[in-house]
Amino acid sequence: MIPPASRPAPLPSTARRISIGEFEVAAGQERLAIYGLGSCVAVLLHDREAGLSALGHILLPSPPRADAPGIPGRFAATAIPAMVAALAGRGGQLRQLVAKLAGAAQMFQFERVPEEEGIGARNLRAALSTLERLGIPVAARDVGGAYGRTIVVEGATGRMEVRAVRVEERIL
Amino acid sequence: MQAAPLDPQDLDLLKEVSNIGAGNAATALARMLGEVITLTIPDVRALELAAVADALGGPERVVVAIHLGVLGEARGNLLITSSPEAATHLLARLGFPGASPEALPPLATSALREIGNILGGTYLTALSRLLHRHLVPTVPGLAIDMAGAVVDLLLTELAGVSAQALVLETTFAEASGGGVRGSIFFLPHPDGLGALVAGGRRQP
Repeated sequence: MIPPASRPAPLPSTARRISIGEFEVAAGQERLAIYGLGSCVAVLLHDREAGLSALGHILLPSPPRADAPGIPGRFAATAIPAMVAALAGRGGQLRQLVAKLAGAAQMFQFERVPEEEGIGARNLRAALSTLERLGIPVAARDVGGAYGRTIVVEGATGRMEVRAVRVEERIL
Repeated sequence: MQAAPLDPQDLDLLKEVSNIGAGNAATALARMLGEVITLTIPDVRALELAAVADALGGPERVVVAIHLGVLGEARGNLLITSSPEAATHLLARLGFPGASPEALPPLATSALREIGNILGGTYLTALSRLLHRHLVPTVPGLAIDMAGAVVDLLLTELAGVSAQALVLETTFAEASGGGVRGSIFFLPHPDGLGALVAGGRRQP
């Protein structure tokens, strides 16, 4: 049987869930959460001086074709600039931002797809190159592997808790 | 751009073929276990991408999941899921008593993947025959983790082309109440959906 301890601890009910393909901004004690992150990459942009954080739940590197549905939050290349704009709208400044990344796992191992070619690895590369282009440094990351993660972020501090089923909790 | 919406007849057709496919898969499983396996009424839903993990019990619920990609004249993804408890029951029947999904011996991992191969293959064979479309499964992959993490891979294929996911779900359970139960999810890719239902309409 499965020991109850193998499940992630319950999260504070105050955390707002960021669904797949979405992002949101939080300030103060507000918390944002992504539950069950697999090959998606979670990008946190934090402005310490403004006390603001934006968290994005990103599925893919970039829109696959010109007529892709107009949902910028789904793609690293469009979500991160949109998150920067949303932070700016709340008083954040691009030059003050730092990033933290989590997720980008390869949940199923395929014999013919090495990990660096999996969707998780491609999401991570796209997020890193978009951040580099915008001049946003990466302060911390907990990425890769073959397991899912739940993350909770606090608005004012940008503190990121990373939980998994079989891996110890990490704080970024 | 959205795929052309399916009319109610198309949805009924998909529900019917999914039911037959799952019925064949259940028969294969029943033969292996020597038990009667029953199906629940199949369900066809167009879900927001964020709601797909909820259909598996919520994004943090731990599931045992076998994934098979679907290739051929239409594309898609198959996901066969069970609770860790149900997988423990299944493994005991397959000769791995006490094997917990939390710490699987390598042979038990192979056994679960093979079960996925048989269930997925049987399901797709029925769909191929009924829809007159050649469908082949890829090598199965196994993950035991949070449902949200498990469905990411399926959603990435849809995210670039569709706002929603069409989800065909059938649930099976051991009639005796012996604890073996699970679900088969088929998520056809929107690009091949028209061809898929057209194949079924041609010869009902």
